[in-house]
Amino acid sequence: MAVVAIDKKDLLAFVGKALDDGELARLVTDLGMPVEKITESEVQVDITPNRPDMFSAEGLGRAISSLAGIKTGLRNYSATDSGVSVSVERSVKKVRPYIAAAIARNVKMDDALVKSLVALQEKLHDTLGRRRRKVAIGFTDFNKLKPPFTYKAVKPDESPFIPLGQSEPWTPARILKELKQGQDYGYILEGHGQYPLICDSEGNVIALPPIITAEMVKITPSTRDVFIDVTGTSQHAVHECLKIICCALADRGAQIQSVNINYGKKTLTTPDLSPLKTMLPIRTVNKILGMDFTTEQIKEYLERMGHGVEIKEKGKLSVVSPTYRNDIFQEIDLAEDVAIAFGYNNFEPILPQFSSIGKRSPSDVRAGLIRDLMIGFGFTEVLAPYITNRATNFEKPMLGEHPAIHIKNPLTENFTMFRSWCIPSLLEILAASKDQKMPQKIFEVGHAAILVDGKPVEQEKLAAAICDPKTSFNEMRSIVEGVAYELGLKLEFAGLDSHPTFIPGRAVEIIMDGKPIGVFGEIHPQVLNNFGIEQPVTAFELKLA
Amino acid sequence: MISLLHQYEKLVIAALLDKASTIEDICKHSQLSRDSVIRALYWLKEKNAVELLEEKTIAFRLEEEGKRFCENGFPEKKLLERVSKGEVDISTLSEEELRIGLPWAKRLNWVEIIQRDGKRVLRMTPKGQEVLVKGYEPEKACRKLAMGAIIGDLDKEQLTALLSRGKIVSKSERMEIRHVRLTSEGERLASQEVLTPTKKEVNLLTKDLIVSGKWRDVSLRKYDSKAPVEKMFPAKKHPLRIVMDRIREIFVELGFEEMEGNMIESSFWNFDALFQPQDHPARDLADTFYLLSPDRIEIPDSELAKRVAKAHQSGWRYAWSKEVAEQPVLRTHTTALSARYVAETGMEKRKAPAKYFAIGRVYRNEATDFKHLAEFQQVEGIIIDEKANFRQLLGILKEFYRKLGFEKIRFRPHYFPYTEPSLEIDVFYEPKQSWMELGGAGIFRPEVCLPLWGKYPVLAWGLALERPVMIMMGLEDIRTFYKNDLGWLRSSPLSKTRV
Repeated sequence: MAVVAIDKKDLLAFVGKALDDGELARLVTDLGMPVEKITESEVQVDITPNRPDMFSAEGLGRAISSLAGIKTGLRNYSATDSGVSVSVERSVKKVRPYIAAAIARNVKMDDALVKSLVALQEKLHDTLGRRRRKVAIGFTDFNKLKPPFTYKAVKPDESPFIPLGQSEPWTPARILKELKQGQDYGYILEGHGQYPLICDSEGNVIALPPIITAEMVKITPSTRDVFIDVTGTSQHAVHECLKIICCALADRGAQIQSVNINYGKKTLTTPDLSPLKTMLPIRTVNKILGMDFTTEQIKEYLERMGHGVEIKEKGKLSVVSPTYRNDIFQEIDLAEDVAIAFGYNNFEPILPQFSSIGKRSPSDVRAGLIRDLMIGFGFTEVLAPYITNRATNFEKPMLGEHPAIHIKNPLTENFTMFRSWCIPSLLEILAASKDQKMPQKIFEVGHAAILVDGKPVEQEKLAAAICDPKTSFNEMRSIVEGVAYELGLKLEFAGLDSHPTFIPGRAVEIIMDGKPIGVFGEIHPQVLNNFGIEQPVTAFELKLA
Repeated sequence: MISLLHQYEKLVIAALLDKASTIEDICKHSQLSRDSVIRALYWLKEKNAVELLEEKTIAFRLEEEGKRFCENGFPEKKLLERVSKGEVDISTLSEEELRIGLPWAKRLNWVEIIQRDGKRVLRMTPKGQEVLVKGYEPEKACRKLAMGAIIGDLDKEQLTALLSRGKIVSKSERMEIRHVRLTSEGERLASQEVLTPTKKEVNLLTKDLIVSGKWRDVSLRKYDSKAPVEKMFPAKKHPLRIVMDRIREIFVELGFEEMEGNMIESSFWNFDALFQPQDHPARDLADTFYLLSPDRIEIPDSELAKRVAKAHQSGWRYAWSKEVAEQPVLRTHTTALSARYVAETGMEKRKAPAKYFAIGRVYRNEATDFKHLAEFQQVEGIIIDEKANFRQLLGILKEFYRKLGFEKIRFRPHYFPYTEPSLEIDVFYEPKQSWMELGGAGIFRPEVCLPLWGKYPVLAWGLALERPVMIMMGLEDIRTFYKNDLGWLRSSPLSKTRV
């Protein structure tokens, strides 16, 4: 999700009607974009990542205009041949293999356009462009360039040029090291020993994508013709971004010209602004939406979403979608557009038509019984987090490390692993509840996980603890035996002197069918100190499955 | 003016009417403790029923050393007891015996020092013998003081003498009731009340009283229904559990079967099977917890993996990597479970049509604050049916929230990579008169369904759990749920989570 701030006056110019704030908010919400704020001069909208075409006033304005019925149907975009070409050298293959380009002629460089274009570029970089790694866009003054162009990779110290905002030539290596943009995005180019450059026929550097363009060819208020270069690691994404930008500029009155991209063996012409065609049986739409729309209704709804529609034969539509709609994969995507145009809240909700028998999971049934049982014993239920850290799981309870589930990319020291047992969670809760009245009796039916032969094993467990000046081994034993009796478990107890969390001689291993399934006992005073607990604690924990 | 006298007050008035005029007399007459009598007297004074003549009196208090002497005996007395068993060599005396015991025993003329075989030994005197029989008065006085017994004039002399002996006792002055007189108001009250209960009053109904029938001869004391009592805390379920149980009940009522599955999951089931491209921002390290151990989780069915790979390659146009799909994660949504259940339907391990739900923990690598948690619960549901459609999706969501107590609900178009159409659900919360976003839903995309199974459409949703419960409980900080502070758990009434 990306929140974009769009100039309201500019937006309404593209809508083609002076809507009040209420209408504007309703239409944008109906399009599926949550409105964050509408002020005197600005509209802030959260644009979902499937509609990058709506990142700018032009794109959002178009969509509102269609939905409101002001200008419906397909908007056609086309590009004439500029005769300009870009030769792609093999050297870029490893570092940044794809480029697409276009020329926008007769651009009226006013404030609104510059603001909108820069915002669009930035949002495309952040989303579709995956922070410039996948796609980066550059704008330069075409009349300062000498075509044809070359897209190639050079060594870090080669081809110094004056980067945007500077006055002397810098090598690519220095730009990456010392310039802010280089420091921010230089990592994208690392590991190949070569950096990509776009150069003109006289060897002048136009840009070092995805970092920066050259000072000499920058856009100025007097620029009339804009050269747009889009580079990246995905050919598809590079082409999609170029289309969105070209359509936005075309909406502002520019004429789009295509550029030939020469990859050696094959040549591509960019941008390809031809619309996307889909044959759509209305049956498909009606079946998935649960409706009985007529062909004409579906035609109208699709036109209000900016599609061109022709009724081909009975029950079938030929749908032509605008070139920037890269989210239209197939029929279902058009069905959603029909639903959006109809209005989600205009559907009459119904219940599913088949009957079925509800069922709780066996483990939840068991957990429910155990919870009732523990509450009967006077224990209050807690819900502890399962992600924890080494200190809590191993160090404070004085337990040696054993194979567990560790997180590779923890954000904080608090969340570094999945807990391997539950008692530390209970001790943390008791420590936080120090000032509360005794006795404190808490329990949890929850999960812990360990690593067995390199595989994660999630275990459902019952754990409980008592914090009270008078709690004792025997009290806990009475409870464990009571639980075992109620659940029909045949448990055996084996004295446990070696568990460092408990007081030696006051701990027991719980055994069922010859296998250890848990422990109980009095918590060692050193462990109580470690957790910051001031009263004696007894606890037990046992595996349920 | 006064409707009722306390039992103590009645007993005190009865004693006063019977000519008692000192605290001691009243205690004796009423069988009440000194404290109770004094309390009752001050209550009566408030009511103008008695006049109290108060006098300054001297009160003694045991100090540190005095307490020790009371417990262990005075050193001179202990020494005397030792000497009474036979002559004692002075060189064998302890530090305390030498410092305190001997000087005092000598001063009091209980012992004398004589020479025996070149050694100085102690021998008891007849005076000492007498003390052994009669007891040591200062010690007796101190012990009375320690027990809170009544201190007579003789005791006071002893205690006053002890004042000069360092930290044994200290003296203070305070007001004490010397004499009590019933006023005319008191007499008026007395005439109105039945002062002496005809039956003995008792607090506790005992087994003895019940079995013997003696309960007929006593009267059980009345309780003041307005006096504060001690708080009691029932053991109970966690507030989130109460709502989770209700949600589970709602889905079971609606014919849903509960799903179960792992929280530690492969990227394949969490992302790839749901048509989330491998470079999707949601898969970033900044959003998802990846695992160091285990370092991979195998993808079981290679045919299935191939179909998923194909959907990604043709839909998103990139080279799909099995290695990336095998990266283990803490599941970011319970939709990973739904993907497995749809695939298992395809493998004929499960039957369709079917309705499934789950309430489970999910994880996001996010900084936690009062609105965000790294670990929280999600309410998941799917309907697999040949005739499943969008209106039914809206219908089941509406019915679910209606049963949960939210009558007003609205839908907004939204985007998820794995559903189309997709929507978000807002419910209207009456007490706050505002809409809140509570979850996402949609119909699984063909790119999700086809590789997994593909025969029937699948309606799916993932709803927030903590947020509506926060609203129900008026909580400001979402972290409260998982902090489990006992004070909070104990003071959160069931009524707040009643739905």
